[in-house]
Amino acid sequence: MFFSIPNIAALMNRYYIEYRQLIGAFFFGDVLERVMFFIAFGMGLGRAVAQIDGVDYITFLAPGIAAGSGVFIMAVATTYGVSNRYEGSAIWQSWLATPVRLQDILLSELIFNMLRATPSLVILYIVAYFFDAVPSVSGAILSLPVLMFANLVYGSITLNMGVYLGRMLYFRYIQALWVMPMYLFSGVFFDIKEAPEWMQVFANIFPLYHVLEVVRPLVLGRPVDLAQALISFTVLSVIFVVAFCLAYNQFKKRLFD
Amino acid sequence: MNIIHAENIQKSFGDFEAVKGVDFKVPQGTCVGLLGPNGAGKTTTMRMIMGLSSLSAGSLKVFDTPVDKVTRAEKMKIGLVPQEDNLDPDLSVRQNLEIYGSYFGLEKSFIQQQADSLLEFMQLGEKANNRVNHLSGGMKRRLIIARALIADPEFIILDEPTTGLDPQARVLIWKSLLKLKDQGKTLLLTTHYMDEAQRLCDNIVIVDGGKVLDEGSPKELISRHVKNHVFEVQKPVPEALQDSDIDHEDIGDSVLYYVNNPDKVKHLLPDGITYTQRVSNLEDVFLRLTGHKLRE
Repeated sequence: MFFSIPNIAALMNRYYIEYRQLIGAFFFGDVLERVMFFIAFGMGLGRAVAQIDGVDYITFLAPGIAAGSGVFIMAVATTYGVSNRYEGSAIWQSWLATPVRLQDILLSELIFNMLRATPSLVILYIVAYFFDAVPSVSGAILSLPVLMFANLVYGSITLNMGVYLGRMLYFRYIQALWVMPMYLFSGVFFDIKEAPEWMQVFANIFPLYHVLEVVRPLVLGRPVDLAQALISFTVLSVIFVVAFCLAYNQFKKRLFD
Repeated sequence: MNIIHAENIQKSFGDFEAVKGVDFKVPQGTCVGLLGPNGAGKTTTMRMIMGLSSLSAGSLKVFDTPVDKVTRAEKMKIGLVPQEDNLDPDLSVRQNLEIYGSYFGLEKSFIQQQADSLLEFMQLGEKANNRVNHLSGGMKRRLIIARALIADPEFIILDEPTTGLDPQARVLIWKSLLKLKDQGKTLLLTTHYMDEAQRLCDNIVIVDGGKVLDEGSPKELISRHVKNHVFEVQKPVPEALQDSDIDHEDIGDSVLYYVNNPDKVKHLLPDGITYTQRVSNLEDVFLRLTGHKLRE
């Protein structure tokens, strides 16, 4: 499977035009919601929980919210967004009548939404900084490429679910069975090492857990276990490649009969 | 040279055979019409030509290249006008043309020049900056045709280009398609409007049930199947006419009689008989070959 850079560039330009038109909706959806989560839990629950994993609760929470924000953005984009484009307006079909190919379309969808989600990460870190919740600014900056890659991984997984999103209400399944469990059981809000053992084992199936294993130490200014980081990166890369190929094959069956 | 050469092409979806062995050619510079009732396999055939649907069997060559090996350069020479309106709803009329042109990797200056001339060609200049959702059905179809022409293709596939349009919009589209023919473009058209096919097509392929029933120029098909004149005589049909050996077809409430010399029927019709007489057209051929029963 080869990708065409000119095709992907042309598609990215088209997404950018859409983004410019809807920048307000994207901004409120992507940024504000996450910032509210951060402030509400950080300031609210943070009063009750004095310290967690050796830091203030709000400081513990900041990398968690950052790492988890892409889960929602990518899930919505690769299911609702994708379904709209290939079933609703059927513009994918019009693109496929040009030299643009399916793999170019799928990768562009992922890259565009990953890029679109990135400013929200930066804004979240800036807000957290003003709450004195970013112990290592350089660590937070270093975590950005990790989180951008993580967002591609989340997107490649939910892209497989987007194939079957025949009815918009089916998104509830994706939310209930994938997005929320991953968000709640990967250690965004609490230290997974303190959780019951079954939950610690359960957390392993979620990419977000593996991402947090790298991102949280980075932002907290702690040494990152390089061996662990390498394992996490390898696992996530394999997930990305497998999920992308599966999604490609499913869409191919669906679109090309 | 043939732009399309289909030999015994077949397509099955599970147990259902949508296309059961179709042969046809589209010679360069001609307009070929693929006609058939709903479910005849026309759209599936179009999709196979575009590489959007794989062949179950047979051979299909586009620009002399097997369809699954069509190169990027060859694909750039094909313009598709699909049946459905799949314009980009987030873009303006002009952007729909320009952004679509960018998918072909064309120079920006060439795309802009093409967009200008196509907006004029399809009489959409005044709407250039409108969102496509604000266009009428006729304007959307014109924009879709313009979009298919953005890369200046040699070969244009039109899947029911005027379905659902008012007569004015249809005439405008016909004029544009005839201009394209004059420019030497090759067209492959499907339509349910026989007058459209008769007006535009040099050659017609009639398909039904996934098979070719007959093909030829509109004139050839008419003389082969229905002669020059048709009389529709309400039942009960006069005995003299019933006993004659005139080519006819019973369509329920009435009987159709096909003749080259109208007097042959007229002198067998007594006064008071209800009938209509007209010059035969492609619709008569189509109904004769595919039957008068509703398909869906």
